[in-house]
Amino acid sequence: MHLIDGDNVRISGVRIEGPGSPPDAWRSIPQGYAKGIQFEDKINIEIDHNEFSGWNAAAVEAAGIENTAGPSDRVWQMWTSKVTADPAGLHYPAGSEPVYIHDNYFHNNYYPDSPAPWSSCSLVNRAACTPYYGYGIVASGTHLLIERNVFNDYFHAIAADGCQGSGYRAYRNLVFNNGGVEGGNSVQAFDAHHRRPGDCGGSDSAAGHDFDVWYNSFLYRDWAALYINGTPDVVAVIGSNAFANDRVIDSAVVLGNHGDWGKVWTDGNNLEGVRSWDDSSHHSDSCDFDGDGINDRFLTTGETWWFRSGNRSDASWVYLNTNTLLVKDVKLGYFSADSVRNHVCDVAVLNGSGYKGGTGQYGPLN
Amino acid sequence: MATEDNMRELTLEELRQPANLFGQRFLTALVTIALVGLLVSPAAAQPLNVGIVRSPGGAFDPCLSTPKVNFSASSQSIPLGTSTNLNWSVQAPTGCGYSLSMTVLSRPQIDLSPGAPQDWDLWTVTDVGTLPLGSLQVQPAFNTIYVLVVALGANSSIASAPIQVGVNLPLANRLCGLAVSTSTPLIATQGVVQATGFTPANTPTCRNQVTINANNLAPLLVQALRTPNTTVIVNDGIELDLTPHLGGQITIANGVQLIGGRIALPGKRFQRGPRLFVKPNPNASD
Repeated sequence: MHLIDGDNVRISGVRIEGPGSPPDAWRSIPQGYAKGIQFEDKINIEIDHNEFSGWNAAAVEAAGIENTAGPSDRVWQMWTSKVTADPAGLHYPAGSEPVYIHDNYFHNNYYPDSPAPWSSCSLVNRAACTPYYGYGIVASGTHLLIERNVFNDYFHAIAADGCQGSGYRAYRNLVFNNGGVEGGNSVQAFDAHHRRPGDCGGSDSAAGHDFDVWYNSFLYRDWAALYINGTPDVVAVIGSNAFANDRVIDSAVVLGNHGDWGKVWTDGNNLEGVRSWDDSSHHSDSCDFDGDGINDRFLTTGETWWFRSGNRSDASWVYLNTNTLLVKDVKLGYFSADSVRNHVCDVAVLNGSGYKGGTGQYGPLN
Repeated sequence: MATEDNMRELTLEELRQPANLFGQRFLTALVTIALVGLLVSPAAAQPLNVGIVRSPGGAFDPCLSTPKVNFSASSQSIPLGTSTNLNWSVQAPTGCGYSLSMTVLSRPQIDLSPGAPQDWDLWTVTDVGTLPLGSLQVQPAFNTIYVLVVALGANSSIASAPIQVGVNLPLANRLCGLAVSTSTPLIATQGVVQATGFTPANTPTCRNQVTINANNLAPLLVQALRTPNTTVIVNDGIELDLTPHLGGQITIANGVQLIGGRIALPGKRFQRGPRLFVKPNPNASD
């Protein structure tokens, strides 16, 4: 629907709602399949604090410019081509990433298509549907910083097309368990596709440039949380995520297309087998984090803290902090003067110390 | 398919009605034909004959002659929130016994440059009476195209050439306004405020700012998003149906900031924010 046709654009604080279920939905869109926001070779783009739903192709699709001669867009020139790696991990250029997508709520963007019979294809019978569409965020030959977003009901929450300029930093995202199905098989939540020689040139077993995946929380475990369909040019680093899969290697993180594990690094801090947040060790409904006088749901995934206003179904999860402590390890209450005045909950770790409002740095609460 | 005979019956029935009381069916047909047939060739007023009555034996009907119509706007470019007058004069054919009826049709048109495709198909109809000389004060909230439709009796009408009224978005920074202009012109001259990259420090940024505070301002949203260096504020609770937009993608120009009233932050009362939506095509079938 929206085509960003210039640089220095910010889209913040709106609900952008697509036409919803195909097949009739995309007929109303001249461009075919419905995409919420698209752009190509644009810099200084910020998309934040929005809610995206009903986009049967992609909620946000960012593209670079690449052919068999390689990438030529500005994101590649000023950013992606300068990404390096050493044993300490990936290193990015100083300054802001050209495209920053953060604190958004992506949901109900999964709309499987089916040739016939349509009646057998539905959101609850996804195995009957093919082909499949509905991404949260797509990096098509470009590089993105994707942070603190929430994904629910997606084909892929994040997808990259495998071109040399494709890559992303995915930090602190919250990924629920309603993912995609293809040909009767579940598919990955985060995707790094292999390079198609006909599209971008190069090796078919190559898969993008770099992927830095940290502090994300996945409830999704029907298949891989992250599938890299080949070998990234630089490296993929996966650290300190909370996975519902029973193990990291070959379960939460899967390589395809003869991918080289030597270029896919995982640290020892990824959590495995966190299959549910729906228990008293992970959540609490006893405190108010947005100051409206109604207790909110406080969620701890093992990597990050979140709250949802009044635990309302129409409210999105809001990021609070990056912290491995669980509800059972903390105490909620109105301890600081600020919290008493604003009725905004503090998270105490020890008597007198913790996190004001559940955010920021550890310190005294008074 | 209508025959000449049954068309004549219809028009004779119409003729029994006062000329200034348009039947809804007649007006709908009139609007549709006028827009499709005339806007593609806006250089001059053209006759629009709806249900032509031929006198027996082919006698001349003076009401079928084209009246002289002048239709203009006092200002073709106005600041948002101000008004202008649409002025007309109509000289009916001599000997035509039917009274005049005039209607002003208005439609959003985001891109007013020559040859730009139609952006919207939503038309507003305002009956403006029967005086052959008159004016109508209008306050468009977005770029708008106006057409004057003149009916001579009930069976012969013409539509004027369309006129365009551009709505200039206000500047957010008065200092910039002093340095450049009091408002940012649209259309071709809007390039004066286009960004050339990152703005140097201490230079007032020439930005427009628009607040969307009603559900019927979707055309203003689209126009503002197309205008470089514009801050578009959309209040919480506003619902903007972008389905009627016909121009394909809604482009967002260089330097645009679309800021909605959604609040999902720690310590802040939650607000879902404004809703920008498109609907499935109701005419499509599975």
